[in-house]
Amino acid sequence: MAVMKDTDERFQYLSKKIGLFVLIAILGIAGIIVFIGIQRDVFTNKTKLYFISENGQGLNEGQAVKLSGFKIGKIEKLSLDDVAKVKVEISINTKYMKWIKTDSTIKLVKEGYIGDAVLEVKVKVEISINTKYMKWIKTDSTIKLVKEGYIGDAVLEVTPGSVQAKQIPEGGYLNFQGAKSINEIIEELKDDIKPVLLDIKQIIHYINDPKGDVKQILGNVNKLSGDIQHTRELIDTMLKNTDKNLENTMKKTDTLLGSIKDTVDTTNNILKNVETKLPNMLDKVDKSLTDVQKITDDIKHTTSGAPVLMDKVTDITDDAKDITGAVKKTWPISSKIKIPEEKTIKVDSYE
Amino acid sequence: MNRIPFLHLILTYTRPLVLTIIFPLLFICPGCSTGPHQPSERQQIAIESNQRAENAYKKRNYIKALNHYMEALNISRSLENADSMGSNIVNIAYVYYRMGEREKSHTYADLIINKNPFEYSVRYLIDAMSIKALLYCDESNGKEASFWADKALNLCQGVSCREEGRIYNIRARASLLNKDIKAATEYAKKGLEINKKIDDVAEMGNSMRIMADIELMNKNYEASRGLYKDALLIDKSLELSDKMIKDLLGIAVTFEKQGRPNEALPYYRRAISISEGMGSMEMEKSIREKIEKMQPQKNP
Repeated sequence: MAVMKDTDERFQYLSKKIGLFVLIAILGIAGIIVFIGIQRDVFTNKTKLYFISENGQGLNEGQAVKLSGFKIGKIEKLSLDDVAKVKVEISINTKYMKWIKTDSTIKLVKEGYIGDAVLEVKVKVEISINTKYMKWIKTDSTIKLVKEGYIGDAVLEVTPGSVQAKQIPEGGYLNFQGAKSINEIIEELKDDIKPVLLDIKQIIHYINDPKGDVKQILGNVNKLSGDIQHTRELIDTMLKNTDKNLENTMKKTDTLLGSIKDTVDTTNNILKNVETKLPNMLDKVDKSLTDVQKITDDIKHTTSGAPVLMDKVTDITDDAKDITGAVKKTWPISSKIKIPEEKTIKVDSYE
Repeated sequence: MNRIPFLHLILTYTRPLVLTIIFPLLFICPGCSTGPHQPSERQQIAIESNQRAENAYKKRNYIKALNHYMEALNISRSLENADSMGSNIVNIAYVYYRMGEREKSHTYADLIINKNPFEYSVRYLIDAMSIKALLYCDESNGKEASFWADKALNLCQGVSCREEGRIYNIRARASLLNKDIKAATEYAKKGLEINKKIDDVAEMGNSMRIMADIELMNKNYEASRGLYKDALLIDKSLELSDKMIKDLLGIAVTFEKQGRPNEALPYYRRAISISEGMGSMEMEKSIREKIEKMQPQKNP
């Protein structure tokens, strides 16, 4: 049994609807193709030209051909001719052919340091100037493309010629100075920047020289930093120790103060005792000193003859010595006493 | 009965006899007899220095001995006492010789030989020449040693000197250095004979040791050993430790030369023991080195 009925309004003219959808899709795709074709100049009329190049370096098939910065065609084919020169076939949009004259030239240029090379065609540009201003346009006047700001279109600026120069006639030629390309700007900058870069190079070399002042200063600074770091660590350690020591010292000081307090208390007690006992002691000492003085007087009295006695003893000793000497010389004792004499060491024959 | 009156008589007259005759004689006799000459006070100091130096020398304290001998020499110089000067100069030369200070020893010996500042007694001259000969023996200069020993011997023959036997011993050692074994034997025998005659026991021991050395050189090991043993007996009796070591080493060498190291070893050990007792580390070390170098005995 069918779930949906054929009679449902939504399915009426289905085949026509699908046909229309497919047709629109096909037309859309065709339109896109045509659009891309137009974009890619597929449908544009082209005029084929050729030129001979000494070599094919930098030339590729499909490479753009530009006129005054506009793409007007491309390289169609590259081939070698009978004399081994490169025959370059280019196709130019026919609508631009009016600019290509018999005296037009073509050359290979690079649009920048980065990027593909292009073939550039040079053309003659005709300008119209209000006649009332023609008095300022002299034979040595120039015309150049300048930008009136970083943003904005470029305009052609004509410089008035010198007073001595003659006015340029109708259809005369003006010396054109195109706007400087990036390449030219870079070239100009290069000349200015080169000495600066050399200076910078020298400065960098001077800075990088390991024996140079900068490196040495940096080394010293580095060392100094290390030393400072080390010093800081030491100071930290010292401070920690100081804290610890201070804490210990404080504890000891507390203990010491306690001891001192005890000592002071003890001293106070002693002093009290001394105060009580001192008068008695002093009396006793005084008495003792009196006794000592008495004893000293007695001794003094007793030993008053000591020096005399010593002199006498010395005299007696000397006398005894003399007597002994005399006795030694006396016969028969003298014969028994050996007079001391100097001795000579016995020389030994086999020491 | 007759005896009693005689005894009484003696007892009666003894006291007056003593008082009147014998006691005065005690005071008169010093004047009658002449005692030995007493040295002056300063000379006495020089003598005391000399004696202190001798004591230090005996204790092998050579530096101290030198100082005292120098002190004594200075006093005797100041007094211009030639005899004392000669004695002290010879002593200083000999102490320097014992210390191994050869140049200084030569210098002092030359003072006597060169009569500086004046002529000294012959006995000091003989001693100085003997010291020169000994110095040259130590320097292994047999020629110079012979020269000075001969000069000393010539001086000795003019006077009666007890040093003759000793000088013959030195002459024998000089001959040994000159490889003249025959002459060395003759001189050693002559020395032994003289030393026996004058009963110089220490020099007798030296003569025997020199003869033992000669026999050792002649490879007469048994004879050499016998002489070393005789010398050892003498040196031991005189308590001469240095020489005892020399004798013991001599005996050990004779055994070693005969290929009997086991018998040599006890003598080496005795020598080490004496060295240890003397505190001579250097000697002890050299003997131990000799033992280490000794070849082990082969089993028969």
